[in-house]
Amino acid sequence: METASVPALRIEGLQVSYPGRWFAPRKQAVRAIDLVVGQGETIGFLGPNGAGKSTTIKSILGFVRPDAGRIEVFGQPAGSVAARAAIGYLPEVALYYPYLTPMETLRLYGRLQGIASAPLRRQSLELLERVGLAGKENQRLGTFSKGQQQRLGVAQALLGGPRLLVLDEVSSGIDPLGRRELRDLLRDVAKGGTSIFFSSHELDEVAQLCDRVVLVDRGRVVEERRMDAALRAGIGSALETWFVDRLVAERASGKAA
Amino acid sequence: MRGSHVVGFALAGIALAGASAVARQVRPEVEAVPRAARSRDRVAEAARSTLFGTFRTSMADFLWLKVDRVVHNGVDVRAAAEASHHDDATDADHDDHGHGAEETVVRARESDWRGILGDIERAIQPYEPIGTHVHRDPREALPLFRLMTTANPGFVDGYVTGAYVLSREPDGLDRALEFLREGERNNPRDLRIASAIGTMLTRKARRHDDALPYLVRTIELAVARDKSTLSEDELEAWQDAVRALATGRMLAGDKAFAIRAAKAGLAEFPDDPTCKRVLAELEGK
Amino acid sequence: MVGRKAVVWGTLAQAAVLDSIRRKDMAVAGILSVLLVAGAGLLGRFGVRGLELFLKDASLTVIEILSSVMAVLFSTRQVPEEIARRTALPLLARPIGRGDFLIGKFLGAWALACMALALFGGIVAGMAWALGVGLGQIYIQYLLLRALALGVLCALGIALSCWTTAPAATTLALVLSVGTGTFGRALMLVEGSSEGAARNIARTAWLALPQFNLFDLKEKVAYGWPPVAGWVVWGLAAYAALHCFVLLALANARFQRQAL
Repeated sequence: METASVPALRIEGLQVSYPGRWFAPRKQAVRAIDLVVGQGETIGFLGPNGAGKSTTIKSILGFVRPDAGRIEVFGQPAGSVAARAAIGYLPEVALYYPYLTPMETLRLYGRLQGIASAPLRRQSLELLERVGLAGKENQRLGTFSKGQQQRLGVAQALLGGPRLLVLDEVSSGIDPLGRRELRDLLRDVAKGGTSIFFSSHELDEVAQLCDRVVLVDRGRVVEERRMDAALRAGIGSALETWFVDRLVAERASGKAA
Repeated sequence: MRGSHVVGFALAGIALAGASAVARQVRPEVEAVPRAARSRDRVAEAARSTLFGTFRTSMADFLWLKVDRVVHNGVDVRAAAEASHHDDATDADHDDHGHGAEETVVRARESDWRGILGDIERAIQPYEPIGTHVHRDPREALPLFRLMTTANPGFVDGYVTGAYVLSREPDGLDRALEFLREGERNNPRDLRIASAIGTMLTRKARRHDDALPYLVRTIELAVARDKSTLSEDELEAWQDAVRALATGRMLAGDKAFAIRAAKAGLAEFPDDPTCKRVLAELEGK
Repeated sequence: MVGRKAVVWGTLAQAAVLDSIRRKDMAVAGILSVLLVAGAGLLGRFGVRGLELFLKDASLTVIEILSSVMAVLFSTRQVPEEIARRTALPLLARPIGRGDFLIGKFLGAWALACMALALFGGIVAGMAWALGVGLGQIYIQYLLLRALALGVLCALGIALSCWTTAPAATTLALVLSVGTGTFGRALMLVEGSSEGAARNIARTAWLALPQFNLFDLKEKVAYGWPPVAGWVVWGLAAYAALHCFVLLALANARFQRQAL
């Protein structure tokens, strides 16, 4: 039975590698990641390009099989139907069916989620308004800009009121005004008790939303840190300084081999 | 490419080698196959060998094969492979009503190991035991003859066979002759068409004087060639022309010509019964 | 449980159908079939008798070729396109199994193939009616069995696309759909002329390959034979279901382990 003490997400000893060409050795994408996301927490997952962020997120969804380690979502094995029932996911780069409209797209995902028709329609309209796509419900997605598609992506991730939001590069392609609107939306969602685990290169966003940040590099966790007052006061620049300084120190020490 | 792909290719290669070793057990030679089947098999082989040749030639060959299906009401028949005899095969598999050594492509129940799947195939594909199936009227294949000669004007078999089928129509003789003349225009040096026109004028129209130039031309075309290069169909056409010439001239009252024709015919075809009969009738009187 | 599965499969299938229809795949198929069938009708005017037989034969050949091509194209692109476009990610993030995903895609491809078949069948029936050529009740059986064959072909396309690239899967599926008839007859010849292990190999190969010619009533329709017995249709439905099950199981075995 699930209690409040069951973490929303637990990752232990995660190792993931991808096959090389021909008989070349496998490429290690994640070497050792351990982290916990408590219920109701918002965690920022930071790292340079190629650090293993997307691979970790894909492992949570069951899109890749780990070589070792364990991942649980509210106590359920990652990738299982029960685990995915609790997750709302926004991929890093996702396209949606260009010949469908936003309402048809949300209907498709909602029915797969098991949401009944009438509530699904209501939810879809509400979500589209919340992400700034009101009035475009019946416009084909092939005419949407990248930013508009990303907003739709956020809407589909929120469908069904997930208990854990997993967002990969949530603000990618969205203009500054849109990013602010999204931050407000995510704050509201977090206030409702939803746990959020997201990766982003927008440090302002991470600073304003997160309870904790986890820094990864070359497939390992470098450091975890609570978002204290000092970091928040400096907003992006303080966090950026910490981010860069910490990475440089890590690489210089040779620990991340 | 991963190691598993290499293993996959290796397995595929082994499978292909095994399949070809099994296939070599099928003996391709067929003995004592009747003319129709030999012709069909030769055309089937030609159709395959022209797979990468011109579309028109392939189209004509394909339609020629279709004619056979039309005549057999859709039942697919082929030359019997001598090695396709099982211990449990019966006469139901093979001809006993004038088809020579032929068999249905769909296997008969008595020699079919496939159980219900075999029954399904016999229910789905047009099938009747070779000895009891019915023939459709060959005139139903006339559009195919028109198509194949339009696709390939050099397809002489189409003109000759099509004309004979057409001549069975009421008032079809003139159209058959017109069809053959079109074939002659497209194939002026082919002796089979000249022979077909001459024999049709002789036997069906009884126009012996009109037939004479065609029959003479057939023989001229035949003797101008090395006999060893003539196909079976060409030899047969030559022999038909010789017979038609001998009997036609005899019926037209030109005895001397008939005797010369019969003697010349026996020189090329020593056992020809028609030429012998003509000589016996004319020289015996 | 069964109801939930049906909703998942039906939703995925519906999305595939809607996507394809809005791409105007059906419109292209319809125009092509009208042109080809009309061409067959024009050629027939040279005949004296036998026009009926020739028209039926040519028209049904058009149906066979076009429906096979459409089924292969619809099925072989379902999974690879979803993965390449990354539309598979938000789908599979939902609480559905990968096997359910495959079944939904298979049903969508099959539904599209059957719609194309209905379109071609209607065009041929219309042309036959206009020319006064009777197709007979066996024509309905022909379309039904053709639909079953297209189901097997779609399952084959899905399976091949999970194990290899989409273009390779398309080529292989087309070759198999055209070649199994000829290859099946060759296997029967080999079986008839061999002994022992070779005979068993030939028999096994014949049983393993889906024999599409078993579903082909074209010749009987063309030559005006009467309809086949009901047990034949049921038997073929069971045969098709078995092959679909095996092919989709093979697809699932690969897809379960595939990284997205």
